[in-house]
Formats: sequence, C-alpha cells, structure tokens
Amino acid sequence: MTENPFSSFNIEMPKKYDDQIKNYCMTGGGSKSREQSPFERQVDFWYSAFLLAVKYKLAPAPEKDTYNVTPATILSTDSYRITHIQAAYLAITEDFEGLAENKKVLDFALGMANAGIPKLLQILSDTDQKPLWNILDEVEGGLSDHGKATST
Amino acid sequence: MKLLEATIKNFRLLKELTLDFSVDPEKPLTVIRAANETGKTTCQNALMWCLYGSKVLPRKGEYSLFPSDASARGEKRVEVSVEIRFEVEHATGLGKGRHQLSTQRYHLIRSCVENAPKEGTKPRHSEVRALWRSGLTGDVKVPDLEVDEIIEGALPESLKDVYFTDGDSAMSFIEAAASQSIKRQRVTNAIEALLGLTTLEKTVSHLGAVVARFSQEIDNKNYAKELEILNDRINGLQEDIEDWKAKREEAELNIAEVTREHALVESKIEEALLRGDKEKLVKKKAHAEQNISRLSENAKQQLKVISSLASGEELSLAILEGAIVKVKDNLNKRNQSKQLPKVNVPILEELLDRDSCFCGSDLTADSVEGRSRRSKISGAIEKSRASDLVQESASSLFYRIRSVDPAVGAPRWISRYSEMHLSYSQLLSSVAMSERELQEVEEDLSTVQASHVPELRDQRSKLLAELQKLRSDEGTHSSRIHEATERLKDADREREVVRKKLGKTNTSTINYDLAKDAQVVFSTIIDRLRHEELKKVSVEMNRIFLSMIGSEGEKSQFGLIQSAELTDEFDIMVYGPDKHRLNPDQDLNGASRRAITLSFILALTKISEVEAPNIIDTPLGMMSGYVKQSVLINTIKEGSQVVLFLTHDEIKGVEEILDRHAGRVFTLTNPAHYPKMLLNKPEVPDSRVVRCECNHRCSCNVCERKSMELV
Repeated sequence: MTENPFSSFNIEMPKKYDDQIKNYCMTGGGSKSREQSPFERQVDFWYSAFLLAVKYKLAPAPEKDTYNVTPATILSTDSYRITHIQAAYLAITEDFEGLAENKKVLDFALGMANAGIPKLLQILSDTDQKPLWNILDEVEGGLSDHGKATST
Repeated sequence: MKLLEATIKNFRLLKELTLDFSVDPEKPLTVIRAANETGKTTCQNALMWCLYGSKVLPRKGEYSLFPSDASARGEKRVEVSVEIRFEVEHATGLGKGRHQLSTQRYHLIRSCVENAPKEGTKPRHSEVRALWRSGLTGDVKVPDLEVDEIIEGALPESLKDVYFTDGDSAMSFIEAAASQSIKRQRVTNAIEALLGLTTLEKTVSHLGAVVARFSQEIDNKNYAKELEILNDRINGLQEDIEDWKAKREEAELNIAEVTREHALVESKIEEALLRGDKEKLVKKKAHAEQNISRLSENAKQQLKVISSLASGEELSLAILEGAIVKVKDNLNKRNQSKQLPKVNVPILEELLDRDSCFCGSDLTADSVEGRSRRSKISGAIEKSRASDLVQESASSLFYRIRSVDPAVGAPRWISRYSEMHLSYSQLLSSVAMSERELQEVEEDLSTVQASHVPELRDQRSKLLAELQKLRSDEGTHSSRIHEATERLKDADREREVVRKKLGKTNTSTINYDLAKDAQVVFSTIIDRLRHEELKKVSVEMNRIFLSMIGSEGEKSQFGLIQSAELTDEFDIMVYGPDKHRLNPDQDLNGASRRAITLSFILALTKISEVEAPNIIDTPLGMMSGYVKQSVLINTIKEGSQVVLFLTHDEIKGVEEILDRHAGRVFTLTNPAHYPKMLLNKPEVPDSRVVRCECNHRCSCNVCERKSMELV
C-alpha cells in the first residue's frame, strides 16, 4: 500500500455548503435514494469537486470557515487519489520543491475542491433530472468533447 | 309493422330511456351499441311486456321489474311504464280486386305499479294497457276490445320469439343441450305459429268435440251401453291428452327458461375460470412480488456501482490525463539526468551485512582492507541519506506514476457508463414489467374473489337438477300423450264399428258423418299447408344460409357446406359434399351455427309475409371476417326493419357496413361498469342505463371504455 503523506491532516470543506453537501451523500444523513445522493461518502464528494476544479481550470480558493469532514488517512483506501493529487499539484503549480511539503500539497487539493464545490452543487441541483444523472451526463459530455478535441 | 320509438320508465335499471328506430327505407338498420350487462335483454323484455303483458316475461311473469337499487334506498314501490309508437300498413279494398295501401300510426302504453320483491306478496298490480290511434284531429283511444286484434295483426304474439331474439336463443333450434324432440317441437311451433296453423288446429279440435257430441247423441238415442262406455273413454282420453299437452308445454317453457339461466351461469363460471384459478393466481402474485423485490435490489446495487463513476479512478485518470502526462515527462527527464537518487542505499546497506562485495573484494571487519572498504560504504550511505526530501518525494511519485496510462481513463469511463446505464435501464424495464404483471394478477385475483365461483357452481348444480326433473316430466308427459293418442285411435275405430251397427237413418248419425268429414278435410289442409310451407321455408333458409357463409352450394366441389334443409320431420339439417349429413350443433363452427339459425328465422319472416321488425341481440357473437360481414349484410337485406343490439367487439370489422346501412345508431352505457371498464366517472345519481348519441365510430365522456386485455 502506498504510504499516505497526508495521514496527519484532515479533509475539510466550507461550512456554508455543509447541509447541501450532506444532502448529496449517502452517509451524510441525506436522502436514501442513490439518484438523489450520488456520493457514498463526503470524501467522494470532495474528490469529485477537486477533479471538477482541475477540469474547469479553476484557481484554488482557500477557506477559513470550514468543518472537518474526515481525517485524510481515509485517502489510503483509494490510494490512487494520493498519487493523482500530487501529480495535479506538480503539473499545475510546477513547484517541484513543494512536493515534499505534504501540508502544502493537501492545502492545494483542499483549495481546488473549495473552488469546485459551487460548480458541483450547481450541476447536481439542476432540476431537469436527478442529481446522479446530472453529474454523470455532465462528465460524459465533457469527456466526449475531450475525445473529439483529442482526435482532431 | 314498423317500430318508431319506445320510452321505458323504471323497468328494472331502465329508469328513463328512449329508443328510437330508423324508418329510412334506404337505411333501415338501427344499431344500439351496448356492452354486456347493459340492459339489452331488458330492453327486449320491456318491448314485449308493452305489447303482450306480464305473461310473456321470463318465468311466466314472475320477473320483478323493480329496480335492484331502489330497495337499498328504502323505496317500496315504483310506477313502471313502457310506451311504444309504431305504424302499420293497411290494405283498403277499392273494388275490382284493387287495393290501396295506407299507413296508420299508433302508440301503445302499458303501465303498472311494481312492489319491492317480498316473499308471499304479489309484486305487480294496477297493470293497464291503452292503445291510441293517431289521426289528423289528434289521438283517438282504441276501444279495449279491438286492441288485441290490432296488436295481433301487427305482430302476432305467437311470433314474438321469431321477431324478438338474441344470438344465443336463436341457437335453441339446433342447440345440443336440447333433445331432438324438443328441437323439432321448437321448429314445428315456430312454423305453425307463422302460418297461423294454430287456428286451423283449433278448428280440427273443435270439430273433434262436435263429432264426439253427435256420437253421444247417437248413443243417447240408442242407449247402447257399449257406445256409452266408448264415448266416456274417448272423452276421458281427450281430456287427459289436453291436460298432459298443457303440462308438457309448461315443462318445455320452463326447460327453455332454466336452460337459458344455466347457460348464463355457465358463462359466468367460464369467464371467472378464464381469469385463472385462485390458488395459481396467489402463487403467481407471490412470484411477481419476489421478482420485483429481487430486481429492485439488483437495480439499487447497479445504481450504487454507477454512482461510483462520479468520483472513481477512471474519472480521475480522464480529468487529470494532461497533468499526469506532464508529470510523467518531467520526472522521466529528471530520472534520465540522474537528478533522482538511485536506489543504492539498500544495496550499500546490504553490502555492510556481507563479508565480500559483489565483485569479490574483502569486506570483513577483521582485515584492514575490509574495514577501509566498510568505512567508505558507511560514508556513502550517510551521504545518500542526506539526499533532499524533495528528491525522495519525487522519486516515490515517479515510481508510482510511471506505470499509469492516463489515456485509458476517458474511453474506459464512457464505456463503463454506457454498459452500466444499459444494464440499469434493462433492470428498470424488468421491474416495470413485473409490476404490470403483478397489477394484472391482482386485478384477476380481485375478479376471481368477486366472482363467487363456488356459489355459481352451487347455483349451476341446482339448475341442472331442476333441468333434469323438468326433462323427466316432459318425457313422461310425451309418453302419456303418445300412449293415450294410440288408445284414442283404437277407441275411435271401435266406436266407428259400433256406430255403423246402429240406425243409419238417424239424423245425429248424418251430422256425425258431416262433422267427421269436415274434420278430415281440415286435417288434410293442415298437413298440406304444413308441408308445402315447410318446403318454402326450407328453400328460403338454404338460400340465405349459403349466401351468409359465402358457399356456392353444390356448384363448389371443395365447399365443406353445400346445402341446408328443413326436413319433413322438422329437423334443420346441413349437408356437405355428396349429401354427407352434418350435425348442426356438432359439425358446424360457432359462426355457421348462428348463421343457420338466423337464416331459419329470416326465412320464416320472409315466407310469413308479415312485415315486422327483427330485433336481434348480439347476432354477430363468435363471428369474424367474411362470415361476420356477410351475416350482417344478409340480415339487413332480408329483414324489413332490423334493430340490432351490438357489443363493441361485434362492431369491429363491420363499421363500413354500418356506415352504409344504419339510419340510426346510439350507445347505451351501464355506469356500474366504472371504474373497471369505463374510463370516466359517471354523472348519474343512481344505477341506471344511460343513452348517448355516440355512433359506432366515436365515444364520449359517458361511454368511453378502457381498453382491456384480460388474458
């Protein structure tokens, strides 16, 4: 198993989105319907927000008023996320030296997720269909466009 | 006679209903569209009651007219009335054999007060009838003494079963349930009624009585003991025969009535059983519920897997593809330019655990060279350990990321999403299908529960027992009549011999001879009429029947049915190729059986030359395609005024024929069919059959029905 360099820190998200986020997570006391709450855990919501921020090239948004979602040791259960966060940090910031500063890398990921949360909430809350299909169709559209762009 | 209009009030569920009939010679057909249990038979009973009174109602009038829902509202009696407006053509003599036809309009009203059914009380009283003749100066009441004559002239009561019939009753002329003698008797009765032979038979019977009286006079004058005994015996036998005939007729009427009830109960049982056995349905329901539960759980699990796509590894790879490629390039370059530390510390540490190097040099601590080399190795290890943490982190990332292929992320995500979504959609379809199946099973179950099959079976057993007793009575009476008739013939012959021995100059003897001769003459007339007219009906029936079923008769060597005949024994027979005899109630399909009986009825009406309406309920049941269309066209062509009660199913496939021939079409609806069969909630305050003006091609809020597929 990959060693978790973030294990001594916490994953946090802005308090102002607390209720909305929990509503979209099965373990957050939200709806028991998977279509209404597409994310199993809040950390999955957080990682999805982080990815959206990268996709839409958003700038990290530091936030002071946050709540503790879960210890970052949880990232060990999906170790590819540790690798991908570090890769994204290095690719976006080009701060090679910073790679050794684990707190700095995680703060980057937290900032990116903060920036992606409003976008994710906006996608999920579209009333045309249920949240699960909103996010998956959004991703599918983006990836298909990406494929077309790549092939051309 | 032509029916113009009928208004029915409080006749069972016909609380307020007007029926109007087409009199357009170009479009003589009237169609009353009505589903099952919508009062079709009740309409016919109401018309017959108005014309002939309570004696023609089922069960000899013990047929309550009281609306079934009125008791529930606490009503104890209702006023029932039926009014029929009709016209009759009269031929007025103009001398020199010339006649002028004129049309006279009438309206007949029959009313009564009907009590709520109660054991031991008479249900009906104050039954009155009045006939009015329409004239230029208004309506004039017809004297009561003339009413029967006018109605008999317009539509004889003896022909009511020919003119008012339904697809099932018509089959009674050939149905398997009836014995051969009953079928013959029905055919005979219909023909005799049609030809007015009953009047002639009454004359023969009357002459018989005259013969007996003169014979008695002869006896009285001669006091011949032997003749007196013979006369007593003959009188007794004649009385017995009359009595038994009346009883047999009563038994036959009851047999027909009970047979009809039995068929109705049987069809209800069949319908209930068609929906399924209750136990099987319960199992089917449990199975459907298990299926729904299993499929729903599978769909839930599938959704869970699908939702993992919103934050899983493929998505991460797809979105971070550019970043990962860039980082891999960067770290690769650093690795190639040796900016990343080699993996030498563990190797150097391993060397410290060994006594000789990989190259064979001495590394023991005992030798000077060995100690020197170990010191150099320890120094190198210290130097490496002091390497930049940055390099270590980068190295770690390099080794983790170098085998990652981010290009597979996007296509794999898209493909997995498509596969999972398809699988989820299929599961949802399966759930929906199982739910529909469950709903259907529940509906069937509720119908089976509501159908009271055991009670119906009980009722059927009772009816069968009653039928058996009635048939036994009827058989007993027939045997007695036959035996008494034979004995009567013997007694008659004996009396003839004794009479000849008595004075031939006696005037009573002359009178006796005259009466006897007249009786013989009338009997011969009846026989000739019966057989000549029988032949005509037979020819006409054959013509109509072959036309209905589209057979070219004996011209076609391949036709399965080549001719039909009414035999001298009053049997309806059908023949195939080479005069092969077919049994109508066994060898013909349902459509052909109906066609032959309708042909018989239409042939009777044609030969009788009585112009009267044919009011037929569900004539096209069990028919489809060519035969259905042909039977309808022939019925319209052969009848003078045809009124058909058709169900929605019967109308299917004959709409264009109705477009061409129907001068009047309307719909009757039973609101009690809501919500099971009717689409919209009825706006009526109680149970009653309602009429709307929808024809065979349209429907409205009142009559619109649900499409149903029960099986």
